[in-house]
Amino acid sequence: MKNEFSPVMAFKDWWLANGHPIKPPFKSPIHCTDIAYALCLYRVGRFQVELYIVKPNTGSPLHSHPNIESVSMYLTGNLSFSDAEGNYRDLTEFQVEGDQGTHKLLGAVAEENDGKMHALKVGPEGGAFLIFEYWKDRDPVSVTVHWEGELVGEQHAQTKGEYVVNS
Amino acid sequence: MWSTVEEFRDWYMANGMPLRPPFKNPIFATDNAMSLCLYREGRFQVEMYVSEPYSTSPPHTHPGVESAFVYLAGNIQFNLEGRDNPDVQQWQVEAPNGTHSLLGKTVSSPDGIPHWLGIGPEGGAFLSFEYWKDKDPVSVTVNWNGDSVGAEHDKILNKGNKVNKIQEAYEDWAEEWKPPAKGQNHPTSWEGFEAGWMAAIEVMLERLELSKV
Repeated sequence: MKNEFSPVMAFKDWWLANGHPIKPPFKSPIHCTDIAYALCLYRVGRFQVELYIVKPNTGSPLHSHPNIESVSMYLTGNLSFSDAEGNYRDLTEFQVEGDQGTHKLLGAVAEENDGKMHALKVGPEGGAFLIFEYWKDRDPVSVTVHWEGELVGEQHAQTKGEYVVNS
Repeated sequence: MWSTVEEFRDWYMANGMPLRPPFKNPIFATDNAMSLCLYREGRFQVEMYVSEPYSTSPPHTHPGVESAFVYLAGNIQFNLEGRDNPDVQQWQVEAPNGTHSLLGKTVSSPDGIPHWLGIGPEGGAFLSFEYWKDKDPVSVTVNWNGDSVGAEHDKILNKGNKVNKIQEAYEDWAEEWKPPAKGQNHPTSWEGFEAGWMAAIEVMLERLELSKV
């Protein structure tokens, strides 16, 4: 259920209402894994929004981002987040063109999360989404590295490096 | 509508950089970069490119496309043939507002002039504004003349080239069998008719396959 009053939802609404400023930070703006590339579009205090571009026919295992409250917003492609048990909602009926040649789901909330387990599945078109984040106990870096659970591959392990989630 | 890629870029930046990725062909991935089309209108589009740390691209062109690049983040050495390409390391510094000192800086890349990239340890992100002069936009990742960046890129280019070759064969056939005179409105040999339709069917099938890349 959409929580209109959560800090991260308020941040999302503010960012979108203010012309979605694209001002990537100088520090740690880009994170790459075997399946996705992320660019931080805006960071202020404990809040940030990252853009994820995900390769076709890929997915992630179940994982979590502890102490991060997040809202993911659909941009385009074919992607779906699972619940904590790994069950996916069938979004096939929404894989159609919407207004002005965009995806029908453009702007829709793909997922709200508060540190719970989830996974990602991406179809043959690839996928792109924004993830608005509120880091409750530290300054933001990227949910790519603040990741608890099985990684998506060797490149992910290299990117995560020595980062410790529960420091 | 705009008449140059610079006009389009200025309009896009002045109008809140609308995020309106298209449903068709929005995402492309090579061995070391991914692109997302943020906005497409007629023959104009803007793609966001995110490149892996320490990646490079060899000199290449994007035939029929006028481009302008806008710096977003990371460490990108953009080189254009015939130009004095300054070493960007001198500008790898943080601006007072916490962004990169080069954020928003732009470089035009005229059609036909080779360019190449070198990405530093931070990776790189930039916007590619494009005016496709003679065809509808797809991605400059596939409209590429020059060595590829690797095996994954090769796969996409070969697929695209195959479609283009079949398309050209079909267009040649259509031209050849165009009625030259009044009253002649059908192919005069079965072989020509069959070859043309087979080419047309192959074009359709290849396009279906390409859309899955």
